[in-house]
Amino acid sequence: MPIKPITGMLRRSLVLDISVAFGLGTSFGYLFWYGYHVPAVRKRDLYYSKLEDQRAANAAA
Amino acid sequence: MSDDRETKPFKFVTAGFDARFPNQNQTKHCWQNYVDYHKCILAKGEDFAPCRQFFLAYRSLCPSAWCERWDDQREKGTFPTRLDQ
Amino acid sequence: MLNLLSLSFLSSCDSPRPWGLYFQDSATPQMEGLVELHDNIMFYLVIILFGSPISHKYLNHALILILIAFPSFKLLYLMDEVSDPAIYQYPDFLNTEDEFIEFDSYLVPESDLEEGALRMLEVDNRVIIPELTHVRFIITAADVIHSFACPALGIKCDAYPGRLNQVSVLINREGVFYGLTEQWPKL
Repeated sequence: MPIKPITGMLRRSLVLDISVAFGLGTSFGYLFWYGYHVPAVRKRDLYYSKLEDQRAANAAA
Repeated sequence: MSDDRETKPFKFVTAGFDARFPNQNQTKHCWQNYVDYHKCILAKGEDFAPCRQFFLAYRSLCPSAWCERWDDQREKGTFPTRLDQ
Repeated sequence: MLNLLSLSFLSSCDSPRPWGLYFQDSATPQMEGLVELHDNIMFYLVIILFGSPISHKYLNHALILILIAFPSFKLLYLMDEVSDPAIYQYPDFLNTEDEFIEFDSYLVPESDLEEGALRMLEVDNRVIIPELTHVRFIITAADVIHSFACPALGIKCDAYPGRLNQVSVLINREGVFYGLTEQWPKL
């Protein structure tokens, strides 16, 4: 029985490589973004709002 | 730090933004004010009040070493700009 | 070691730390812009970092490098914007009798450092600057090219003999900010 001709290898590896690369890349990218950047910004904004409240309290006093 | 420090009242003055010198390089800003001040007092006398703004500007912009050097040059007559015209 | 690393990576502050991997805490709008830009760029760079070992065969990531240049330019020009200094300029306040403040500030030599002080950063005469005020630094050098930089404030400026460079900052919180500086103390 003749085997089927081997076709589509190039397309297969292309799709696989690119999707793996971008999947990995974007997931680590978002890991950095939500794991580090967003908490850092939140912490900073919290600090500044606290500072602002304190300044307002000092100005009122 | 000594305990008998003397506190003096200060009015803070500095040169504002000058549209002629919008750059990071402020060298000419200092120089122009120095020249303008000395032209001003030559023309109008030490006590002419409007000259004072140039004085304040150059004093706050120029390093004091530069001013001293220019003062020396003016005394010796080697100042590179004519102040009397 | 791990403790030291996590300490330095997660807790940033106003001075350099051992094994510091990230910025010092920002204290000016400029520095906040810089950190924001850095994080934005890092997002794309992480994608490249993990993606390119596989996809370098097909894609050219130079395009991304060109794209991240534009926000960088924008920030650069925004930071160069000269703001009108409010009323202060530190070393040369003049009062009515034409007296003015002038002082020298030198690095504390290594042999004189106290416990916990920062080597090559501690000075004997700190410059005190008002917060929430537009402040202008005029920077020059006396002998050779130096530089004046303060990471927490996001400023870095070369100091040349015979030239006055200005940088303006607006500090929005209190703190002791250390500059990596080798400068003639005409700040």
